[in-house]
Amino acid sequence: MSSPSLILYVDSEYFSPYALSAFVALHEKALPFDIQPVDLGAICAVCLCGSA
Amino acid sequence: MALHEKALPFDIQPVDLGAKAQHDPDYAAKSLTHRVPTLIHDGFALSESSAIAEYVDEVFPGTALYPADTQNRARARQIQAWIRSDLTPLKQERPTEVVFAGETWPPLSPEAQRAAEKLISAAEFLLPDNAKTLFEQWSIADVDLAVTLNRLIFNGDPVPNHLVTYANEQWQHPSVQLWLKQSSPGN
Ligand SMILES: N[C@@H](CCC(=O)N[C@@H](CS)C(=O)NCC(=O)O)C(=O)O
Repeated sequence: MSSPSLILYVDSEYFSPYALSAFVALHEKALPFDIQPVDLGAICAVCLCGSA
Repeated sequence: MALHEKALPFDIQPVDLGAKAQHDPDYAAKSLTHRVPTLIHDGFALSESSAIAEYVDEVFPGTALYPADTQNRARARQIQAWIRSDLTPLKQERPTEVVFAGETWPPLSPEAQRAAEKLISAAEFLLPDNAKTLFEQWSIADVDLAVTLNRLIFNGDPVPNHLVTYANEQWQHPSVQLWLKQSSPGN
């Protein structure tokens, strides 16, 4: 299995509005891509994702 | 809705990044940014969501992410940059847990209230006549604006009806719905 040419790193909680925007952008192009959730491990000071 | 959605061979493949990191040659490039989203395309690592959208739009065919008209395209970029750089008190008091996890937060401080009013008046200017999209066709800026309006709407804060309708319809976009399935897998 060859590694995918497109990988999108997103926050593991799926709370980042910016990750959502990039996800939609890729998905609209109807291309296969892999999602790699990253545990940010701290509250994001920009969007406060992870504060729950 | 005048939205085009194509069938997509697409798999969400959650991985344990901690375990996988050292085997992934792209991870070093990504970890330099320590930020999401980061896109890796054939080893090219790119962060900043609006830069990602512009890159993807230029490189791949499919649904246009930005308007074709030069001024509209500039306006879309303006909206994206503005949403990312301004409205900080509003973002702090209406974090995305409100949007993605159903949380309800206390009433806005005066500062955040001013930011909310700025957002609403900009949205009313940009969406006259009950427009369903910012421009003639859907664009990625619609997603950004809808998320931002939903910080208020989902919390129960007052937002003019036609903006609620706009944001609700944008929220039904299939690509957005697919994301929501990830943020609340039980649903
Ligand atoms: N302007 C950036 C914002 C990216 C951003 O703020 N990402 C946050 C999650 S919402 C993040 O990765 N925070 C972790 C950190 O900064 O260490 C974009 O549009 O992509």
